[in-house]
Amino acid sequence: MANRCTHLNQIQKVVPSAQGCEDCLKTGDAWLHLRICLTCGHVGCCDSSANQHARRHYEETGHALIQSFERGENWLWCYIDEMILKPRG
Amino acid sequence: MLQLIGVFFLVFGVFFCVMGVIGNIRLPDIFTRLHATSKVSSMGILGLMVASALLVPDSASKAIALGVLVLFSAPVASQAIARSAYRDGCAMVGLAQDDLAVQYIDFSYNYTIGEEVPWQASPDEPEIDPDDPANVDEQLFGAPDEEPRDG
Repeated sequence: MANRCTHLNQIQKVVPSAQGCEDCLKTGDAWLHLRICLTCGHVGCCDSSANQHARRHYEETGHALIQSFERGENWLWCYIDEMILKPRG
Repeated sequence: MLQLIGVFFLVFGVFFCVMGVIGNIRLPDIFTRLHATSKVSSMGILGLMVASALLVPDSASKAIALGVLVLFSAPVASQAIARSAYRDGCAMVGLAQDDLAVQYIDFSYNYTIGEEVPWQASPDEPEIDPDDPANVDEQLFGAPDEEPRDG
């Protein structure tokens, strides 16, 4: 049961690239929930959204770690290890 | 004929009860044992209730009502027990992958919509080596308040 995320060194001090899903805003689409890439700050939409821009961003760039960009949520997700990470405390 | 169907359900219920007991003895951990014993409280009791409704017609309404209630409550109860056991850290025998596993890390900033990012305001901070995986949070957000525990 020793599955641990090994991509924590990808985490950078990022600035959100937009206040909504970056790619959906360009095309005028709607999204459900927002996810922020912790490597470059790309804000994309979740897997429940039609366009899944956050996952597409991971597939294009390899940036594995995202955090929820929704108010009141602070969990992280690693696309490679497919596991949830939470801040301690 | 009604008697025959009643006996069939009696055997059906007793069969599930016996299998549940055997499972409870033979299976290795709480989760698989729950899997066995929850069959007793759902299928086993339900079979016995249907049997008693058929064999003792006077008690039919009570038996059916009991059976329906057990059918709804037993799975909920087993699920609650299994969840509390998992949260309590009970070992799962033969576990290959734990999809519910959560890793706790030293990462304290929570991005939220519309909030000003604190490090945007001060561009004079020292450069951070992004390739050093030592302690991500300490590099990014200062030293942690307490010694990190292994989570």
